[in-house]
Amino acid sequence: MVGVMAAVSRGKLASRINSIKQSGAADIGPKLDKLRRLRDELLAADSVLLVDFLSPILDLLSDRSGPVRKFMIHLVCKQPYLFLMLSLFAMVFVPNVLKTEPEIGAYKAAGFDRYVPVITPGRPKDRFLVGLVELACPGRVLQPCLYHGLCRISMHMMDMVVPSFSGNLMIGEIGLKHLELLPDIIPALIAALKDDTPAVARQAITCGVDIFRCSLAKVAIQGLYSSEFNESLKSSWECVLKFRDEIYSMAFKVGNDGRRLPALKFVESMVLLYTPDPNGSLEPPPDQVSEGKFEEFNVSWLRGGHPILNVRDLSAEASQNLGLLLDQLRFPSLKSHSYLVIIVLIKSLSTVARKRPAFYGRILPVLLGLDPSSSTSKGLHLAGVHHALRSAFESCLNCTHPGAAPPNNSSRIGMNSRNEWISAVVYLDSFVLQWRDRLVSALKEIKVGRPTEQATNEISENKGRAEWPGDPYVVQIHEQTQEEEEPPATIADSNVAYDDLNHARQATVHVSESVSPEDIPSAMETGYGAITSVVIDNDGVGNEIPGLALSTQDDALPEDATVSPRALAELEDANLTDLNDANQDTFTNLGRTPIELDKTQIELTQSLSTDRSEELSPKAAITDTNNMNSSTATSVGLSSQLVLPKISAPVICLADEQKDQLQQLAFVRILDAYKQVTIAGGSQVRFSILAHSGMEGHELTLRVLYRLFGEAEEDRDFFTSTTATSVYETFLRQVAETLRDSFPASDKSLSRLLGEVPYLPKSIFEMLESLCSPGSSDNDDREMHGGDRVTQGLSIVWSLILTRPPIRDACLKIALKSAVHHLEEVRMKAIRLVANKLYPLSSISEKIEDFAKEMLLSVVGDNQIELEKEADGIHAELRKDENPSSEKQPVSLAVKEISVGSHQNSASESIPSSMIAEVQRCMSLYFALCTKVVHTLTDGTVPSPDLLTTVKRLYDTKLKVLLIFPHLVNAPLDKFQVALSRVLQVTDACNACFEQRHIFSQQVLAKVLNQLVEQIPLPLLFMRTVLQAIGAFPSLGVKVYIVNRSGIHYGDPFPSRKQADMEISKAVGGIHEVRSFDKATVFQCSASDMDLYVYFFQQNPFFCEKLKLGYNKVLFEVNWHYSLPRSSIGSSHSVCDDSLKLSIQPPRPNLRYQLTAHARISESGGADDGRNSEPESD
Amino acid sequence: MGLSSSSSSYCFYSHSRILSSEPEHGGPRAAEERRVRRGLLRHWATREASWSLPQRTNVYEFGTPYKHMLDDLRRKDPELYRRNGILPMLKRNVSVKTAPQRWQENAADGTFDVVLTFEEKVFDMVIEDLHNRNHVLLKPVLVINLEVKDNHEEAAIGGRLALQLCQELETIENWEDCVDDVIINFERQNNRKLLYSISYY
Repeated sequence: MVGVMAAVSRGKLASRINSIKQSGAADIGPKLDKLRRLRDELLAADSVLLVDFLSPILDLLSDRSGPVRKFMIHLVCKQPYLFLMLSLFAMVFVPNVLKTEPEIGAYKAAGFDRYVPVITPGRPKDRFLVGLVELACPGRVLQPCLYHGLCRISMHMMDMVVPSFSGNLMIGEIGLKHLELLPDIIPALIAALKDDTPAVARQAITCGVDIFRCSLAKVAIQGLYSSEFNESLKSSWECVLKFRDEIYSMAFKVGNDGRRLPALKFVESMVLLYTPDPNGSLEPPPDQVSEGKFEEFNVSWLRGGHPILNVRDLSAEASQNLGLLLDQLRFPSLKSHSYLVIIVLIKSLSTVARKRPAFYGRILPVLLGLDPSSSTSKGLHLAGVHHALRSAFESCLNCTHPGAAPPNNSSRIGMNSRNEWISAVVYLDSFVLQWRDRLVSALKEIKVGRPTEQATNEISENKGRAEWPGDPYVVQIHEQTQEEEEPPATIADSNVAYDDLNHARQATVHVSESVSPEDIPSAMETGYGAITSVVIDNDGVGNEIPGLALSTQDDALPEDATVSPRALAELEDANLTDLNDANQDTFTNLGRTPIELDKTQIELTQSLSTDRSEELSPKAAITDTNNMNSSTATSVGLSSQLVLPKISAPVICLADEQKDQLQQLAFVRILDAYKQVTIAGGSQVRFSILAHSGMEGHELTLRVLYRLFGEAEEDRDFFTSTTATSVYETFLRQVAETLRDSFPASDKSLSRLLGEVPYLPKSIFEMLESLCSPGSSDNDDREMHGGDRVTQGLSIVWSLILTRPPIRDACLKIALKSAVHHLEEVRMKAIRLVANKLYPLSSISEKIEDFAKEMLLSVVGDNQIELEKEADGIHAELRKDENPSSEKQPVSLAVKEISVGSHQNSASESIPSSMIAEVQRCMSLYFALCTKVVHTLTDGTVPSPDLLTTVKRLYDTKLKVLLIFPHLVNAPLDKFQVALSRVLQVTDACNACFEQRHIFSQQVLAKVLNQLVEQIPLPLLFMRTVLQAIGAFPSLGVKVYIVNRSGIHYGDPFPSRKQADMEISKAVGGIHEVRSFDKATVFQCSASDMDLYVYFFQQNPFFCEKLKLGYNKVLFEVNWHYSLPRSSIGSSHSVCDDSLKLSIQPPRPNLRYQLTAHARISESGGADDGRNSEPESD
Repeated sequence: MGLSSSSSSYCFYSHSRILSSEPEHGGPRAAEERRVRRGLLRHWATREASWSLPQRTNVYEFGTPYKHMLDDLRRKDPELYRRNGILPMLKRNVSVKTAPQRWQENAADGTFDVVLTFEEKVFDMVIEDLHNRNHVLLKPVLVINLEVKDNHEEAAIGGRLALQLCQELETIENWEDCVDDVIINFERQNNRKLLYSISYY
């Protein structure tokens, strides 16, 4: 609706309508403009005015020009009064509309009869209209059966009064408002689907989407709040389902495109409706419930169960429909589609992938494998298809799904610390990178390949037309080559991560023992070929272990350093089409295979033989759609809980097929009997088998767990779900314990298991806790809890914190508890984890700090009051004695008080040594954090003597430090904060360092800066530190080369100015402007109209920074403020930091950059000569 | 009856600007319009001797009235801008509409049946924007890109082509069914390659 217009004057409306009527039929455009204005005015007008103008308005309905009529119908439908009137008005032309007695009775009872006799053809319409408007006044409720009549009228109107299109629209409107009328309306809509005019059918489908959503929401809400359903709602819903089926059949039937396109959109919206929206609310919004609005719907509302709608069935249907949509893009159906259908399919699928990340892994392989060039029989617009694919890939790349998100924190941590805890992180990242690489390489292929293909096509199509004027693609080739600049950054990024990955992978391979490195290349050689054949040869129970191909490739990476991820991705792409074909064969084979095994086996086979490409899915639980009978079709509805990356097991292809088969059968039996096993007890052995059988076991265990979880969540009835929950817990606990007990501490199986299961019950947390904090429970086996076990527990906790944000707090608690453990060995391990690994995570650092402080304070906490009593004297003393070393007196006082009041251990009162141990226990974490902070400040440099002595003072004697700190904490808050903030003052610290020129020589600084620049993300105030350093040593050779993409990539420093120039002109295609200042040279380079590069060079030292501003900046003003405020350290933080932010902000398409001017280059003449050259600030 | 084609609403979209909803005028102006921007950018890239670009570059915000641009440029260097054709172009623009508009902010303009772009980059942006909107109405919109080179001559040709294309689209009843043929015919007749796609409101 257009904004409120205060008062629409009568005269204005009259003149508007007149002018519309008078304008000739020829100039439609202006007439429509006037109509639009009229619409705005009418929508704002009150009912009194409407009454007056009704007649002329309705006259417009019989205007000679079609567009005007169409517009008026739209208008009338939007205005409730007008709508009603139009419906009744139609009766004039539609005799005998009110057929049944009740209808006529209601009509008469409503008093309509006075104004519009039931059968009155040919009466002057003015009179009716006036009367009808009176009738339609607010507050009058029409009888339902009168609405029936109105529906009929509308249906007749399709043929008689107005274009059928509009009548149809009207039916839709009525249906939306009165869902109970649907049994009458739906048949009309179904008939409309087959209407000769495609527009009518399209309109019917469009109405169908709305009607379907609303009735679904209504049924859902009704079922949630009462268990009884009235008959009318039930029958309405059944009608709607019928309608839905009709549309389905249209969507997947080759035929008229005009009807098919909206039908495909209908299927898309069905898939979305039937699957939970991860961003949607879990409960119906209150206004929907109370006011009966049914606009929104999220299937998650139904988690708790529903009398009619079964989440699992809905998910299954959505999954099946998605499968059908995907099949449309596979051979052979792909060939029969027209261009627009393919485009709509691609777009719909990418929409589904974007909105329902759980399907990401199913959709993407199909899109990646789509080869439109093979279906060019109909003169398909290849460029357009490629274009749509490109958009789809790009939107998938931007997907925020955890499995699809660009590698961020986790990988960075992994990169910085190659230690034993790496594997969990790397597993996740390897998954992420597979998708990213494949997408990026597919995008590159499209970008590079398209112009060539295009050119070839055009040449062949247009033989003899030598004078092709201005082929647009020739120009674009250049542009696109330029654009290529960006993806390599990502690739390079992934290369780094892959390097790390290789380390971890190798480690894993050794651990699992079943693999010798020699196996790997051969496994890779067999590659997809072998697997495909296995799949087709389907009489085995399922040799094809999911993820085999993938893991083979991953594992092969370390063996062949030259294989880049991109090459791999291409390899995968190349194979994908074959795979898809093979899969289709598989399905048909499966369908024909007689059921010769027991049910569970069949299920297993089916779930194992799902689409190979789909096995890359981040979601393990989605089983294949084409097997709807399979009960392993775990509820997609649970995907919000289940969106865990499906990590392919590093399975090694076993040479002996039979052995494999045997093993598989064994698993099937275990799986089959899992319930009996748990009930019958004595399951240890079997679980051990499961646990010992390595990665296939892992795969199976996960499947079992997901199945159980699905059962539990489905919540069919209290008993079943409780049973499933308890079985789940028992099973998981036993497997976890078996894994823990049977493998050495260095094994990662337990960590993986816990990282991938659907959820972690309390018992698992308890187990983890006892691992991390041995001795807390009585039945701990002392032997079992060697230091290695603690390490194992902590590493599991760490990986859980990284990979499972929802349980982060619980895990953190375990780690923190371990960090105050009474055994120093345990404590130190935990503190290392907390301080070095967890504390840098910004999301939890605060909690860690709080905990540390709390523990620290808890030592002295109870003394606060007493302390305060004596505060005056002490504080005075404290203020006098700034130097901590001179605080002996208060220290001893504090000790006394601690010993008196420690609530931690009241027994320690008499035993000072144990008291100190206790204090140490509580405080060591705090000091570790402090040290960490201090360490960050100095960051690998030789710390300044000042800091050194300070740190030394803190560190030398732990006890002393311990005693000083509580006192500091006890000191008045402001003083404490001053002390803390002094420690935290980065700039001051650096300053202090830089002043020590003999210690912080130029070489030292250069080394430090090189170290700093390696860090990701850049340390706080990094640029500032660089500037300070350059300020201190102008001849310092610092070279920073920043390429900006999704992060920062640091290239090699340019050895020489000349080379830098070459590099840059190569990168940006020419330097437009060079301007030299005393010590800096500024280049302005513009690669294309899209991008602006600004380079700054510090001649000697040579300092180069490249700023790339994003695409689509409609306007930008770049005033790169760059200052070297050597003499004014600390005065211009903000400016420098803003500039820095500017440079590392990734370009975001669709955002207009409005970077406003900061200032100017203030060249570092520095304090020496006091000269500041300010080049041209305006 | 039915969907009378003459009622189709068009959007000509060039370099993030909506230029006109009247098909018969939009094409050529669209191309010209783009030249304004490109001209200015290029002007910046080649002419400005100073590196401090912000103060000397003529970049206008969307929504800045053409009138304002015209006056501004007239004041700065009338001779230069007349010679390079920017002033006359702005004058024409003034008579078409008040100010350049931005596609991404055009929701208030209602839905279009056809969107015509003149640069692939812009086509991409329109498609992406439509893709990211919530598809509530499920009303299809045809997006066509007619690549037009960035100079006066090509713009004039491109304008005529755009008009022709629109007229041909007007002749068909249901573009969903037969737009392929229209496009192929158009491409054959004019030796041009079009890029087109379907999106939904």
